[in-house]
Amino acid sequence: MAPFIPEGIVNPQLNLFFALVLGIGFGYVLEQAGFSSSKKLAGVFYGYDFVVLRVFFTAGITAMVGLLFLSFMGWIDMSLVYINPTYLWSAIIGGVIMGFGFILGGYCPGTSIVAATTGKVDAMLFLAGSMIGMFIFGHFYNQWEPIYTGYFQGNPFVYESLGISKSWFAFLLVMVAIIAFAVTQNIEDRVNNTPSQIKDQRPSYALPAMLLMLAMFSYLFLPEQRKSNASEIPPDQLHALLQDPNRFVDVEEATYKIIKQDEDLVLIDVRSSEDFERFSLPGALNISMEDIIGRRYREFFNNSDKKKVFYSYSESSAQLAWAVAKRAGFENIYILQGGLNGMFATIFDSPDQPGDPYDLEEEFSIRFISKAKQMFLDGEALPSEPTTPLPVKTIIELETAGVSGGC
Amino acid sequence: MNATKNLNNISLLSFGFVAIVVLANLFTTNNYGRANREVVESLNNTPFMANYQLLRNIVNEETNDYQLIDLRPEQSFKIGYLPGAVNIPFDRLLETESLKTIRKISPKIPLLYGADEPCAQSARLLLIAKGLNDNIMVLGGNYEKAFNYGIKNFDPAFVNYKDEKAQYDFNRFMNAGSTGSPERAPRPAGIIPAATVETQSAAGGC
Repeated sequence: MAPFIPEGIVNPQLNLFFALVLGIGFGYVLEQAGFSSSKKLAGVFYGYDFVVLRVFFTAGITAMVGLLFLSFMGWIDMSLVYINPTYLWSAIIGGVIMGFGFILGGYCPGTSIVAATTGKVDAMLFLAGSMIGMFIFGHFYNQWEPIYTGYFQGNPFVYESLGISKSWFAFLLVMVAIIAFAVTQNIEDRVNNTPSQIKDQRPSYALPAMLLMLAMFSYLFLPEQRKSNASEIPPDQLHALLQDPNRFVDVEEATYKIIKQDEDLVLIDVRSSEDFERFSLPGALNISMEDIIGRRYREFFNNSDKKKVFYSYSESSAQLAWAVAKRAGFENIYILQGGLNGMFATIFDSPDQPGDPYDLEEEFSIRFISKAKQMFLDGEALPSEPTTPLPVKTIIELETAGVSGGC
Repeated sequence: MNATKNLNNISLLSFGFVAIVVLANLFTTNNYGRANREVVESLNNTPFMANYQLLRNIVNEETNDYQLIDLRPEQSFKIGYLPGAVNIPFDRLLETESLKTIRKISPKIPLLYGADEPCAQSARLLLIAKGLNDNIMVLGGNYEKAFNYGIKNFDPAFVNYKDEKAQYDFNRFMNAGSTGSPERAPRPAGIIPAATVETQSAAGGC
C-alpha cells in the first residue's frame, strides 16, 4: 500500500504540494517545541534544557515504531522507501561543520528558518551566513566533489553493523530513549534547582512509557514479517490469472505496434542483458526480475495507461516475470504469445498465399504478415533514430527527487 | 492530575488500537509462504531445469531421488504419462490435497512437467510462493517432447531441450537495415546515469 508515491496511489506530480504541507507542519512543530529560541537550543550543551534531545528522540522513536508495525502488517513496503545513502567522509566533515555552526550561531538550518519567520534578527543573520556557505560550496564544488561523492558506503544499517536483529535493536533503542528522558530530566532539575512543587505538578509519564516498552517487547516475539503485501493479489487469484487466455498479446498485435512505433505498447525483454544486446525487438526495455519489483521501475509499472508486454525466447521466462509482476498488483500487463521464437515463426515461416481463397480474414492476416515480413527484412520497422524510451526518463527524475530528511 | 489522566487515556487508546490491528493481522490467513522478493531470489539462484538424461535415469530406476508430477488434466493423463508420474492437474494445484501430496513427496525432489513448459514453470513459482521447499525441478519442454526424446527414442541431440532458447538467428531477419551494426538496440543510455544523478540530490540534514 505505502509508500504512496512509488506505489502509484498518489500522483508524483503532487510531490511538491505534499512537501509544502509537511514543511509547514514541521515548522509549526519546531516552533511549538520552542526551537525558535537559540537559548533553548543551546541549553542541551549547558545542561539546563534538554528539549532538543527529547523532541528528536521522540520523533525518531515514533517513526521507528510506526514503520516497524506498519511493515509488519504489510502496509508499507520498506524496500521501496528511499534511504539516504552514506558517504562516510562527507557526513563526518559536514557533521563537524554543522556542530560548529550550531554552537556559534545557536541554530541549526531548519530551526534558523523557523526563528527567522518569527522575526529573530540573529536567525536572519544565521540564514545569510548559511547562504554564503552554500554559495562557497557550490562555487568550489569541483574541489569538494571527490570527498562529497566518495567513500560511498551504500545503505548500512546500525543493527547490521552491531550484528543484532532489527527487533532487538528497536527494543534497545526504545529503552535507551526512555532512560535518557528520565536522566536528562534529572540533570535539568539539578542544574536549574527546580523547586519541588513544580516537580510534583508535572504529569506522570509512567504508563505511556510502560505501554511503549510492552509494545516493543511483544514485537520481539512476533513472527518475522507478513509474506504478502497489502497491494498484492492473493495466490488463488494469481493461479486463476495464470490460466486466463487473456494474459496473452498475439503476434499480430505486437507486430502491428512495432511497425507503427506505437508508444502506448511497451515491450519488456526479460532475458539476460547479454541476450538483449545481441538481439531485441525495437524499442524494448530490458528489465530483470529483481527490477520488476524494485524501486527503479515502480513508477513505470504503476502507470497502467501503457500496455506492457513481457517477452523472452518462449513464453516460459516471460510468464514467470509476468506472474511476479501480477502478484505485485500491476495492471495492464501481458505476455507475448509464443515469445520471440513464436513471433518469428509466424512472420517468417508462414505461407504467402492463403489456403482458402474465400476466407477474407485469413487473407487479410496473411497480407499483413507478408507486409510485416518485408518491413522487418528492410529494416523499416526500426525507429529511424534510436530514441531513449520515455519511461526511463521520468524514473531518473523521480530518483533525484529522493526525499532526504533532516531537521 | 488532569494532564496525567489525559496522557494515560491517549496512550491506552493508541496501544489498544495497535494491539487489535496486529492481532487481527496475525489471525487472518497468511496467503503466501514467501515474499515476492524471496520468490524472485529463488527463481534466479536455484538451478531447476532438468534434462532428458535425468528423466531416462529416473525411468530406468537408476536414481530414486525424484518424483515425476504430471500437471496436465486428468483426461490427458489417462491416455498416457511418463512412467511413475503422479497426476496433479494445474487447475487444482493450490488445493490443500494437492499441496499435501507434494509435501509428502519429500525427501524426494518433485519433477514437474505439463502440457507446456510455461505451465510447469508457473506451477513451480506458485508452489515456491506458497512456501514449499524450493527444491522443485522442471522438465524442459512438454510431455510429448519428454516422451519422444527422453524415453521413446532417446536422442542425445535433444537431451538439454528447453523452450527458453533462441530458435532463429534473429539478427539476420531484423537487422537488414542500412547500418548493419549488430548492436542496433542498445541499452537506453538513461538507465546508467541514474545512480550518479541520485548522488547529487540535495541531501538534507539538520
